[in-house]
Amino acid sequence: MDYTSIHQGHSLTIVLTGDMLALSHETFRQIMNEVIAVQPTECILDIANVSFMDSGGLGMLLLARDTFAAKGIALIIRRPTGAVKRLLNLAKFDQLLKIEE
Amino acid sequence: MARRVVSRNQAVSPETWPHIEAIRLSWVFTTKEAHNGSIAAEMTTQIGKLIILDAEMQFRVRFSLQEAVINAFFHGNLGLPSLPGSVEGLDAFGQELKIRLSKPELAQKNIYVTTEIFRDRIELAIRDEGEGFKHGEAIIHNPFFGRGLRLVEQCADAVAYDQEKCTLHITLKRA
Repeated sequence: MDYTSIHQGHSLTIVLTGDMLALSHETFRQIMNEVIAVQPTECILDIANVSFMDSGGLGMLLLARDTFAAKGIALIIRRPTGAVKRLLNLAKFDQLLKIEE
Repeated sequence: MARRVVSRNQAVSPETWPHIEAIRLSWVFTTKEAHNGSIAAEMTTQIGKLIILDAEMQFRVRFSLQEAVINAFFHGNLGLPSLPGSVEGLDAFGQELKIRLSKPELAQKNIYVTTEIFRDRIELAIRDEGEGFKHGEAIIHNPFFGRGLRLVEQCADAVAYDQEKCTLHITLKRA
């Protein structure tokens, strides 16, 4: 999994590409460090180009939500598609996270 | 993907379906080889070369394989404990993963995957060389692995755990 970040005002957008797996945890940890360092009021995870996610990826989304919330950062998941959207629906994550189409 | 193919009917094509009962694909790979994370995707691609997988079936096959292999990798062969849902836990998890992968006796343990494709279903069997896992324990205490198995149960038609043989059996009905 790779990522690029775009900082605009109080918002930080992280654009993810590739597969978001349990084995991506080191990259995801880097992302969390970057978000915490910038201290935006909202963090948008743009996952339109994430082609696959496993339950480890789901776990990392919840970890980010809780960690960011404790620091006053709102997490928004943006543009899930294909297998990722299917998994988020299967796991009923629309009830746990703010997801924007 | 680095792996050793232990058995495979390579001459089978979809046109020969009337003459065969099932296609059987088998893979065996080490824990270290599984660390690249792409094994489930590549197995799904190979299955997709033999039968037509629509988007939903492709998702079910790949997700089931991914969760089963990752469970065998982390929880089975590496014997990693449950992961607390915290940043500190993630850091500790990463450090412990590196330590365990550096041990040849763990990194060289195998994961065995068998796929049998029938006309009406696909049967997956994933075996590790760990000490077995208690399904309920995994679900209750482990946010990474427990959620995965629960979701596999939701998208599969049958899931069975043979704790004695450290094997997870998954059945996916074909449309």
